[in-house]
Amino acid sequence: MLITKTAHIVDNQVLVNGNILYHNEEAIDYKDFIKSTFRQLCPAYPKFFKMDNLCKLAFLASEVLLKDEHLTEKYPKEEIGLIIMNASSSIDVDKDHQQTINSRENYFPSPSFFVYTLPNVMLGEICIKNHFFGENAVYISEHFDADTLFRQVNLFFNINRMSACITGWIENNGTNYEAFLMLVEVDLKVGDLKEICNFAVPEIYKLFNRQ
Amino acid sequence: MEEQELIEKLRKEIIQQLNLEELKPEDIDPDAALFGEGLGLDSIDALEIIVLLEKNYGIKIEDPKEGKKIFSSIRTLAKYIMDHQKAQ
Repeated sequence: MLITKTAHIVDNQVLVNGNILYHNEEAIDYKDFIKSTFRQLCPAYPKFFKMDNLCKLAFLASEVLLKDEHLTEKYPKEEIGLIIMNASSSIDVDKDHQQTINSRENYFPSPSFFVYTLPNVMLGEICIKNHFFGENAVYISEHFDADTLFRQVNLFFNINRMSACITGWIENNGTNYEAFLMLVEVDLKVGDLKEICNFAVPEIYKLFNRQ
Repeated sequence: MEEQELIEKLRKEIIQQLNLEELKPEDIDPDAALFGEGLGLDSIDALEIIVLLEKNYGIKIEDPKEGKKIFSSIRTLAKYIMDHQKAQ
């Protein structure tokens, strides 16, 4: 298994394979940055604006990662999976939802907040956009844990017979955000011009820490 | 409130409530279909409009069949609100 591509969104920057693709120094906050990134890098996708902030981050990272990859032409849709990890689950939109139900006198739960109150929804958004039908899972961990990701992705490939997996860290707690995604593939053809490295725990940490 | 005035208000409220950030109020044709081809809203949006009606206008839609007719367009929505307010 090989890591064939990475995407990183952090500190108002979007990086692909460690190289800066987009940088917005003027963005005043996460929302401003994410909106400008979408307009700059992604094709029209009106559903984007309906997503919660976690899904927006996951969606953008996946779009950057999967650009020009044509995964569904290389592998059966059922063999493309996702494993994502984060620390704060869906706490950002959970708080928004709670605000709509805090008061008995003003009790109007918002359906559009409520539908995002699970971190797995970000996987759904990526699968819907890309027509991936493989297994997927979200793990909650206090810190980025490459060992667990490595173990789970290996299980995906060996037991669930995945051929490709989008895996990494998508964290948004309302104050801080970071997205780091890797494309892991089993079926890389000889001659592909890619900056590849082995899917191994030390390599994952190096890529995540941009070393 | 006159119908046109209410239509303007609803356009703004719907853009805000449904996160239609790419749209300006004047982009929404008051006679265009809200669901399907027109604005292309989905079932979650329908729920949001139901919440909006209850929260901002004190109107509860009890019968889902009724919703289909009321939510045809911004204009039908405005007419329903005005009829409801007159009846009160």
